[in-house]
Amino acid sequence: EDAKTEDDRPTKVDVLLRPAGDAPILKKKKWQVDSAKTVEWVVGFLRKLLKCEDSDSLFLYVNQAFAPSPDRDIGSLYECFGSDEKLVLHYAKTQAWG
Amino acid sequence: MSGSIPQKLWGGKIPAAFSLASYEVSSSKQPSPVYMMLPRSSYLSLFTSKMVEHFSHYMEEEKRGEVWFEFNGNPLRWHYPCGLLFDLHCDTASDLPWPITVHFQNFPQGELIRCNSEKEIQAHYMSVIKEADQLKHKGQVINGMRETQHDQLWHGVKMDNFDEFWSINKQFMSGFETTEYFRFIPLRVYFQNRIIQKLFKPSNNENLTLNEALTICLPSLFANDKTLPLKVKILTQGIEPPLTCSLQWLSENFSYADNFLHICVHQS
Repeated sequence: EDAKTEDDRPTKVDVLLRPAGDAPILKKKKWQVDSAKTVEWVVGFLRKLLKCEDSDSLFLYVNQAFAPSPDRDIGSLYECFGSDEKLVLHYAKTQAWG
Repeated sequence: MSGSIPQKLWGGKIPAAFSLASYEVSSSKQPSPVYMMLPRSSYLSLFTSKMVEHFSHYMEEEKRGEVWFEFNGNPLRWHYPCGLLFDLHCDTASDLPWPITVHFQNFPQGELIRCNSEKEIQAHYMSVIKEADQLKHKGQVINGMRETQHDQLWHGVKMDNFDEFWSINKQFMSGFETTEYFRFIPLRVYFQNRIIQKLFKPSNNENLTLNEALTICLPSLFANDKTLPLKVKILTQGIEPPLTCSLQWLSENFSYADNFLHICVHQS
């Protein structure tokens, strides 16, 4: 029997970033993200891409349903909520789905 | 639903003693600890104002920053339910009352999430409920509720009122569409520094047990015959459940108020 790896999930995840509400559309929407990166990291990365002011809010949503905790890792989100080999995340400047 | 398992677990409280970090005390008199019975499904940040009220006159006003909690050198994540924190950090029940250190200085940025208001605790709690319902019912139950019902759910948690909480929460116990099962089980397994969350579909396998789920989450921990080594302890809600428990049943009865099963795996 083959030895199982603890984490037989991919090391990189395809993330598709979609705007919600009046959030600006990104030129490049699809990004390959390390599965160990956290939601907080993605938010920081997105804030730079969108050139957010420190005072601007930015919310990230999974399944257009819930805001994942900042310390969640992308790999686990993809495993539970990914489809068609990617994880779709919606971003908004105001609370879209609570 | 009196005498039900969820109600019994809700009633289980953790005795805790909150002390101000000694190096933060600037008064000549040492503050006495705050003793509390922590509800397992509650959140530490709900008691921040109590800590401020009790400890603020023992330290210098200008040094007072955001409150954070620590045990044994570990910053405690306020966004984890109290019972989960206890099961994670206190391996035995010999450390009672649970001695928690309260800090007002040196907030460990990067290790802890900030909590600036009670609204943030509520928002976080609702997000976890929404995630759980996404898994259990594709979000159909939570989306079918009015805002007032969401508020009541949180209010029950905040005020430690089981009846108020369960009057709304019981709706999350229904099966997915026409089945008796949840679509997927909201489950998180904690082992060493890792948090493992995978999809488990109970209707596929009526024999989906806790043991089965753990062999998938932590395969290297198990022997080839799918048994656990003796020195491994599986803990949830302060209890070591039989590994033969059905995951569906455990999910309905042993979940925290956030509708997640939080299973801690300790290896000595």
